[in-house]
Amino acid sequence: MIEIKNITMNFSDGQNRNQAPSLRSVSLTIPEGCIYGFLGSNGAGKSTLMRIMSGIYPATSGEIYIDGEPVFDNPRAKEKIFFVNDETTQFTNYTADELSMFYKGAYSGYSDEVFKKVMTALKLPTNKKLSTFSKGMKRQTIVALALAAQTKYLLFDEAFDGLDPAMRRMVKNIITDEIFDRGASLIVSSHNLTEISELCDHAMLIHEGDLVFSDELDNLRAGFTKLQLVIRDPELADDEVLKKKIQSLGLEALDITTLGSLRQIIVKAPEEEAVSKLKVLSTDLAEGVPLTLEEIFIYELEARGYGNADIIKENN
Amino acid sequence: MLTKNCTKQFMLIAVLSGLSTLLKIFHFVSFGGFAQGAMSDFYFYGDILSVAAAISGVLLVAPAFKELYNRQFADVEFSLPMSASERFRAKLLVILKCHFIPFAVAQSVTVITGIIFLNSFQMKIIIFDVLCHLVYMAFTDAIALVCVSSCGNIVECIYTPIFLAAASSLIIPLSIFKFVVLISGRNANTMNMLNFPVGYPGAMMFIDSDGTEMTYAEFIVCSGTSVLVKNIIMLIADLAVCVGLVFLALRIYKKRNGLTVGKPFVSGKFYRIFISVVTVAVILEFFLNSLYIAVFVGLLLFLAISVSANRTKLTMKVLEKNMLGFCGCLLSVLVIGFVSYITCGFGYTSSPVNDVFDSDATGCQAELITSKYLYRIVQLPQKDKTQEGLSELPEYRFCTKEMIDQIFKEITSLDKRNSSSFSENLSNYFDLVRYENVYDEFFAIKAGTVYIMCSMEDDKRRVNYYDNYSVRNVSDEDIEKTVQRFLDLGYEVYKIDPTGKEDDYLMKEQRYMRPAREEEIIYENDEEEYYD
Repeated sequence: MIEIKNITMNFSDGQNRNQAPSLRSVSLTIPEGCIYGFLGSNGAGKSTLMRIMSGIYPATSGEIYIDGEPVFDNPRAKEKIFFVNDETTQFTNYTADELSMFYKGAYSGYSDEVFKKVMTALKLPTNKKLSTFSKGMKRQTIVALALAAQTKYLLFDEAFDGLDPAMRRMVKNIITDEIFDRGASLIVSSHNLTEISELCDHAMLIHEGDLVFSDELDNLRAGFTKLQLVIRDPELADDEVLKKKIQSLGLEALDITTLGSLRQIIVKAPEEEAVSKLKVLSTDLAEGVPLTLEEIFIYELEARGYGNADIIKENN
Repeated sequence: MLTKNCTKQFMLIAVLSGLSTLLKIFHFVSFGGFAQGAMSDFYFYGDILSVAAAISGVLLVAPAFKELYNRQFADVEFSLPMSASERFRAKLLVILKCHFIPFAVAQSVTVITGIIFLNSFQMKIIIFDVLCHLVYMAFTDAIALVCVSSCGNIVECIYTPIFLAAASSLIIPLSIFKFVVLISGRNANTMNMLNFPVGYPGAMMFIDSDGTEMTYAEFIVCSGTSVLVKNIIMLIADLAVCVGLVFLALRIYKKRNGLTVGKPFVSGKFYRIFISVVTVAVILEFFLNSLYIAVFVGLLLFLAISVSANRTKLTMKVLEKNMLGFCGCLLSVLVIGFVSYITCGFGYTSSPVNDVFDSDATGCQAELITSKYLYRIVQLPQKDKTQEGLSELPEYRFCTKEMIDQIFKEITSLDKRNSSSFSENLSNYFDLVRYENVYDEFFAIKAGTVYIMCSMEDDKRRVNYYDNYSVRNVSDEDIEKTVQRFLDLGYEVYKIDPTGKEDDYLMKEQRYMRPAREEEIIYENDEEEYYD
């Protein structure tokens, strides 16, 4: 289990004292044997959190424990973690075999067998420099190395970028097979919400350094409801007034859209609770629909003033 | 993977070391050592290549520690299940493998070939050279380790070791030479200061001091075993300092993490030490030659480093702060110089005669300069009697220790720095710093400056020079009085017009036939003998 306790990260040095922290008191627990998705806008702090979890950065305050041990400068805790960042340039001068040798020297549980098996499955040469590989092939090689390290926790920071859909699916299958066999955990960050939705059983959303939510994906989906209803009360014609009215009923409305007389409301509550509470507003209440992860992402960020959510919504 | 990062550098070191060894072997085989033709060009160039291979470590250490300046490598290496000490040890092994092994193999081959072709005396020189080159290598790598551990950008990782190694090698000999020797007016036996326990051996060779342009080989030949042992102890101390630097680098490295990658200078302390050492060394290099050049070059370098260190964050406030730093460096040199000036080199060179007098081998030449004339008192060593062309010299011109003591006493009495007021001393000191009273190395000295030169022949074949000169402004009247006292005591005094308008003449009735200028010829001959 990875316990992230009140992690705050401030990159400001002596000359930029007013710079906002990259992470603010983030607390999170990642259970064993799960696939955890890290969601967030650009620059939200996902990669920073992953680097702190890998012992690359020391946190400004707070602590991260891997199976009860602090991770920073602790080889025993790091032995359980393999971090793959979003770049491949650092590996281009080496062959896969050389990289395999390098990681074999670092990780006690490194398996040549797994490395060869995955490289064979992916049909990748092991004796050629990675500079001769395409971006996707490099990514696949790094995934093979990560799996061969046989660590308990795999951290992939946007690691599936550059893979075509077929290869993406294949790599994901290889990863899930490998980690389920070993009971390992995969922590993956991505902007591709469909991918996270398909792959992960847990997810968290981080925005401007603040943790917005973290939970099992099913609980998350169930925690948001989209309702369509006709409200005839002219006093509630204005969206802001309606929003306040909903709040007075003990619900948080993330978004209200008006389509003629029809109002679409996104509320942060399970369907049953949302329906029962909003019944007082209208008898013409359509059935509530749980949100997709993508919708949750968009509405949560919009509620925090990020991006032009209307354009995104229109596209969806 | 780590070794592969250093492949190109390894190849460079291997090629340089190999070429160096080949040239030296060719020299041993073809010339049979130093007996015929002394140092041939082959040995000399072999030596240069050896030093080049040693200092190529600057290029090797940075790629071995790529995670300290490259974000991608930082992600890979800092996330590995290794402690900072383990990572550091792994990298040290890479440096040993890529630098020490090819270097040591090349040096070993040189020694083995030397054993076959050279005699034991010549082998002493070779082994001493090898030890020096080893120190060159160790010091380069150790300084580079400290610098790379303290910097987070490739540019700083390359130039800081070069600057710091050069500056720290020069700062001790320069300080001794400028503060103790030159400022006190006693250029005494600087040759024993060729090796220092910090920095590259032979740094003194790069300092503009008279009579110190010696190679190690000559040094050993000329100075005997005891000096060799002394120098070897210094080199071993230097190696110990290198080990200390490696531990310091480890201490700094342990504090590094992914956060500091990309920052030119990670440690503020290191930045301040680095910029101060480099700036002070540059100021010292020109100190007492030209204050203006010292300020100009020092400031230029200081600003260049400041701009490089702050890059885009450079503001007027930062620049002003840096300017204050430069003023601090300059002021510290001037203040230490003044303290040294009034204490006559911190008391180190208060009585040079006892140190330099070597029974019958010591000669002395004193020069007293007024605004118009140069008075020269020359007493030659007893041994010079046997030299060609000097056999007809009158007996009374040969000096004894008592005579030299007397000359020193008279000359020293002109130097009133102990009895002068603070403001007088300060005024004299600034004249010295601005190089107004000593405007040439030897003879072109302005009014009132005193210059004494003792030549001493040691028990080998070398003639050493001991320059003892006052660096004070002395009035013409005082000079004339002293000259008169010398004449009264029976010394020969030559009166010379530096402009050449008047003939030089001996200020005594029995004027010696040979013009005073020929005294220089004696020394020139000695120089030739020395260089032979």
